[in-house]
Amino acid sequence: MAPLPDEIERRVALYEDPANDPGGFKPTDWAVILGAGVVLPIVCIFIGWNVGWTV
Amino acid sequence: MSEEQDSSQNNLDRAAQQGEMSWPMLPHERNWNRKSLFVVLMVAAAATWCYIIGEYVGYYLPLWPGFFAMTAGAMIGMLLVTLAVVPTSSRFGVDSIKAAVPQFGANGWVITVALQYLSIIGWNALLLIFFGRSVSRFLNAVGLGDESLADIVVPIGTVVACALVFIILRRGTTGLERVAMWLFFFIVGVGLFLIIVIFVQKSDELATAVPAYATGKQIDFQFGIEIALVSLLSWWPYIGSMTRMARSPSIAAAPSMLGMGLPVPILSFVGLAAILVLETSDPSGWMIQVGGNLFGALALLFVMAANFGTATAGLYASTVGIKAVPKLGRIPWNFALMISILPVVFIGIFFPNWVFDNFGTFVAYIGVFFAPLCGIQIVDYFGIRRGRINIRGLYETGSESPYGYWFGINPAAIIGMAGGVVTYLYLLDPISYSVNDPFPIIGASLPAAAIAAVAYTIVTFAINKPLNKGDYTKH
Repeated sequence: MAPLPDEIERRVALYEDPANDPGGFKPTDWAVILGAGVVLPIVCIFIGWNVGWTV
Repeated sequence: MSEEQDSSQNNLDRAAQQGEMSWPMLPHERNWNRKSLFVVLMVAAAATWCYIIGEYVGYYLPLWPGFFAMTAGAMIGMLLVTLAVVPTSSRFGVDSIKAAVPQFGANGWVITVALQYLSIIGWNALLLIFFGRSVSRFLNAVGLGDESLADIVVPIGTVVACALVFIILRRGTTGLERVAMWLFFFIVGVGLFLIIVIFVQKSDELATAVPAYATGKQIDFQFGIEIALVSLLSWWPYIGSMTRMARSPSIAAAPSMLGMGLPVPILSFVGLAAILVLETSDPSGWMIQVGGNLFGALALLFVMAANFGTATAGLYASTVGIKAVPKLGRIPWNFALMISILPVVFIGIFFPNWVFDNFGTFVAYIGVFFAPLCGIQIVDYFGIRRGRINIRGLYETGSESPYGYWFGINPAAIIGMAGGVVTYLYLLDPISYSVNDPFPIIGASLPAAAIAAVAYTIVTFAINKPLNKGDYTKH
């Protein structure tokens, strides 16, 4: 495998250290993501289906 | 904008011009907090294209059902894009294209860059032709010519705008981010002006307006959800380049969902209300109809500035994307800029009306390709790899690379994409908008994403894992 260019190697090596890995979403992030991406659409679909139809 | 952000913007400009944008950004270079990322994402999303999205939904739905359908669709689309791109981009400081390498392979950029390029070109052609139309309407408002003037002014205006974009971007963004902030206030200001005047002058008509293409409650409602959903899938190319500036997925999650997702249905409400009562398919025509010649001309000046600014930012993003392609990283910046701008010039001269008249087809094709792409990325990152990404593998290109697969392409991604595309095309024809069951119940993008994810998973477990392809063995 050809080595990576020096500057990319330096950056990649930094993230290979687990201490520099920020990890994934935290439970509070999941609450926001699922609240805005799942619960809010369900609420909007319910309201939109029942309100303001002119046809 | 703080000095720290100024400095990071200068670094980005330099990196973009030297083709270094695909490199992982270092933690100290990624200094955007939740608030600054929220503002940047909101400003990027709240462009005049929202008027056009709302207008298109208004062909199918009355005001409030349209607003709620758009909000539902936009947030579902934002969910797909956020889960597909943000975990990798904001974890390692990489853009959307690099974030897709584990799924598509070391040479998979052929697919993702092509989709990014076509999507950004399409949206920017739309904006610059909107700019040309606004120029023509402005000249009409100040007493020059009639509506036929558009036949000459729109192509010329588009070409002049493209030339100006080229001149501005020859040296990088040069303060574009500051201009973008002001454009946001222009767009919201014009939107508020339109909404207030429409509600004051035409509230009765608005309450009883019947959409032009309304056929049935269930299918129209689903069209509203689908149009907003696929419009938000267009953020796939943009979002990685912005969320990489946050130091962790945790910082990027809320700004991504709320900052980039919510402004679109809110601002699209303007287009929805306008088309329902004004019944003019050209958004540049609304300003004069609503505000009269004086205020209409003033609003058009703002819209022209906003369209021009957003298109400039978009074409910058497109050029950066081209420079991030391994084989194109060393081409001169001006040449890459030409590759971004010339298709828009071509469309502006030869097909200015086609783009506006076929907006629904354009956004549906966004869904055809980006829905399966998101489905594949989500199932691979969260379901199969469980978040384990080989950062070195994103940059190694040979056949022994962790993501080398076969000739650098992952067959599971190709089969997944094919399955998703066929599913979408079966459920919704992007050209005629004819549909098949179960589109009226679940739309087209979600099933396309789901089928792509299932097909990808089957091929991964049947072929890639047993043959030790794709760096799954350690997981």
